[in-house]
Formats: sequence, structure tokens, C-alpha cells
Amino acid sequence: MSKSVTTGVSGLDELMSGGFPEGRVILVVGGPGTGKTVFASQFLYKGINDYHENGIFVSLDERKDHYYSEMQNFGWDFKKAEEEEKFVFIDATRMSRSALQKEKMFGETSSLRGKQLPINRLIENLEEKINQIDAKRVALDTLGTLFHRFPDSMERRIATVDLVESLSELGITTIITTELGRLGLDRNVSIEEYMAHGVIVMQTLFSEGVMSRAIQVEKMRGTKINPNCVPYTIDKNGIQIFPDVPLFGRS
Amino acid sequence: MKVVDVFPGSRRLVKGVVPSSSLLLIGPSGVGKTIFCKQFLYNGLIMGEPCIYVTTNESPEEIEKSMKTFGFDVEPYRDKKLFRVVDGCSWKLGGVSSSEYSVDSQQNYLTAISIKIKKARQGLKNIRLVLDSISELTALSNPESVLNFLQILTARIRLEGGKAICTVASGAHDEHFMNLLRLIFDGILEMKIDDSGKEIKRLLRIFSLKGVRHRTTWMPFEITDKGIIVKSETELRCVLCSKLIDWEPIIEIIDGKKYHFDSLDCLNTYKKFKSIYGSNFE
Repeated sequence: MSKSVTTGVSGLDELMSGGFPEGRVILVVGGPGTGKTVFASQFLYKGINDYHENGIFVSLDERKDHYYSEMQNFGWDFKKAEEEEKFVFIDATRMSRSALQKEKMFGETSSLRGKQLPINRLIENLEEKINQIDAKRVALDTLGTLFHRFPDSMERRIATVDLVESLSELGITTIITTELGRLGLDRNVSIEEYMAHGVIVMQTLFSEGVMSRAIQVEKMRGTKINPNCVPYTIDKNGIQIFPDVPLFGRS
Repeated sequence: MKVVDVFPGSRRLVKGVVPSSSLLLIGPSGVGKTIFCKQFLYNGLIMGEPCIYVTTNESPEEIEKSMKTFGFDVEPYRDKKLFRVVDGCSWKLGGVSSSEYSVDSQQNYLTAISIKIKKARQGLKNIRLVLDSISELTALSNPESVLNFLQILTARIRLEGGKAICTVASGAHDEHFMNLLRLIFDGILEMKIDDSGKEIKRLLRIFSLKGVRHRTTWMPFEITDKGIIVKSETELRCVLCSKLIDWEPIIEIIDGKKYHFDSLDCLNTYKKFKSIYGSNFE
């Protein structure tokens, strides 16, 4: 069994014998507003602050300043962590755009048609930053955004396989967040779920008009898990999971 | 140190030490269940036991205010974090709660209360807990979930050696639910109102309490400005110390006359005096 990485999300380690398997890719699946970004950020921030493990946040839909100020609400000062060279924010949207401009300047327009290119560049850039700050944790938020660039299902498949494979090869414990296609547990299992080493599902359940936040470790290769759906809350301290509190009111 | 009842009238109703247990308090509305619970918690605070009040129908401010009218000032204990209110009331009114253990809308009501109780228990040992009331829980959740919730709550109390009282309104639930409810708790306290006379009379009895000897008769009680006072049936006083005898008196026949004593110590002291001062000692 591989070494475990403490997640930094209160209560989560109890669901999976100590934490994430080290160096693996974990997929966090959830609908809008379930707290995927908070989850990924908490994993990074607690890593930096509590376990001296530097981290990188690859953002596909949020700008750096906006992200920093949002995370301040939880008391997580990523700006300071960046200044101390413990954290790097990669604005992936902008990166691909500037990459395009760079290509244009050098006249290498022919390669631009290949949609694979941004992923390769993303991985290259990420690898460079990992080495630069000796990062042990990476979060990519969110895969759904990237997919908008690949409307064709075959292309999307290739892109996904490419991305997850490349991230796995880096040997860094990585969280990838992705949107749920549909709410509820009966969703279609997608390609990225097959490929990831672990899948965590965040849900908002409704029963008699009342909302319940529920989280479930659906799969975690090589790790003993508690596969039950358990309640969690989001407050000023971030995400807190309650493995020993039953989820009442589920229909 | 002043000796106080574990719950109102406990020294009169229970022989010996009240065990760590979860009690179900059944009674009609207006009989005095809530004040009984508040007194139970305040007595705990005096004895240095931390208390958690789980409320479904009063805000933390209302609880403190009403407790104060009976002389139960919990403010210093609240400040020392020994008195914690799990507020399941303010949320329903859409208001903001002064309690840090306030239920919010992120979870189903029972799950949310469970989470807040868990948080409120953190760092506390030998707790006293009150849940007022079960009847309100069933208004928001199905009966099966409420029973499941109470089962877990009472099991935790039992495991950790605390004491809990949960209230339920009599006549508000079907027999099936009440029977299942009775099974969950270690003891059953019952309250009723007798209005056959000129004035209403309030009565309390212990229907059952595991692991200890107790009276099973209905005992009259009054709600005074100092809280609930459970009256003795006989008003027997000890011959030596003239204290009201809470439990069965020790009866000794001396020179053909019957004397009542509160304890063996009183009896022995009385005998000693008698041997020194002779038969004139009364």
C-alpha cells in the first residue's frame, strides 16, 4: 500500500484510512455550489500551512485576484504563500491565450489547429512550476471548463485521457474537480472517473424541500474506504465532514 | 458544599445516587417540563458539570431570560463556555442566533442538530444535556428518523457517562411511537395535572429508572419563584436534626416510643446524647 497524504479536509481522512494515496490523481465530482473549489483549495492550503507541502492551483475558470480574495473568506492567504514561494497560481485560460499570441508572433500558426497543444503546454508549464517550488500537491479547477473547448466527444475523450495520464505521470498528488453531468447518484460514469485513482462525489440532496450537503468517497484504489454518504458543511473554516453523523431525511 | 438534587425532587424520589442515564420526561403542555429541564441543567452547573441545552422552540436569549426569573443565572457559565445552547429555533424564524451552535440550512434538521450537538460536546466531559422537545422534532422529520436520532444520542450519553433529559408532550403522538420512544431511554419520568379540586395540582412520578431503587408513587410538586419543589408525602422530620426526611425514615423504638431519623448517624448521636443526659433528653 502506498503512503497516505493527509487531505487537510476535516473528517475526510477518517473515510479512507488516513488520506489520499500519494502521487495519485483524485477526481472531485460535484454540481455547482457544492464546494469543489473550496475542497481543492483547502487541500492545497492545509498542505502548505500544516504539512509543509507546497502546492499549485491550476485555474481554468477563475482569475487570480478574484480567487485570492474569495479564499480570504476562509482565512487562507494564498497571496502570502505565493510571496513565500510555497504556492503558484496558474491562470490556465490566460496561459493558453498568451501561448496563442506567442505562436502568432513567431509565425508558427500551423500547429495552432491541434487542440492537444494547450494541454501539452499546460503540463509543461505545470512541470516547470512543480520543480521550481518543489510542489507536492496540485489542484486543477475545473475540468468542465476545459471541455468547452472540445465539443466533439472523441476529441474530448482524447484530451481527457491525455490530461489525466500526463498528470499521473508527474507523480504528484493531484485533485481534479469536475462538474456533475446530472445531479444525483444515477449519473453516467464518465471516462475521467475510470481513469482517476480516486473519485469523491459532492452532492446537494433535497428531501421535502430541505437541502442536505452530502459527500461520498466512491473509489480510492489501494485504500480501504468507508463508502457511505455522510454530511458535510461549509463555513468560515472551510469544509468539515462528519463521518459519524448519520444523514437523516434521505428519501 | 451545598447538596443539590440531580433533577428536581431526585433525593426524594431516588434512593442513592442517580446513575448516568438518559431520561424521557412525558407530560401535557403547561405542566412544567421545560422548567424541570432548566432546573436540572442549573443544578448541574452548580455541581460543576457542563451543560448543553438543545432547544427547538426558544431562542438562547429567551432561555436565559426565563431561567433568570427562577434565580438560575447561567450567564457566568455561558461566558465560561460551560453552558452551551444548540439553537434549533432561530433558524426556523429566519433569524440570526447568538449561539455559535446554531442550526443552519445546510443540512436536514436532524443532521444539522446532530452536527451542532457534536460540536457543542467538544472538549466537555460528564455533560448534562436537555432536548426540549421531541414533539417539535417530529413536526419537521419523520418519526423513524427521530427515533433513530434519539437512539444515537442516548447511546453516546450512556457511553460517555453523561446525563440527559428529553421532553415529549403526552397526547401528541400515537401509541406506537410512544412505546418505541420509551424503549430508547433508561428511565421514564411522568408529569400530570390533577384538576379535580379547586386548584390544579401538579404531580410527578418516576415510572422507571434502571439500576437504582426509586419511589413509584405520584408526588405533588409546585412551581415556585425558585423553581420546582417536590413535596414530601409525609413531611416527616428527623428527631435530632429536624431535617425533612427525603427517603424512608429510620425508625427506632426507644422506651416504647417511636422515633424517626434521617440517617444512622442521627440515630447514633441521639442514642449517645440519651446515654449522657438520661431519660430527660428529648
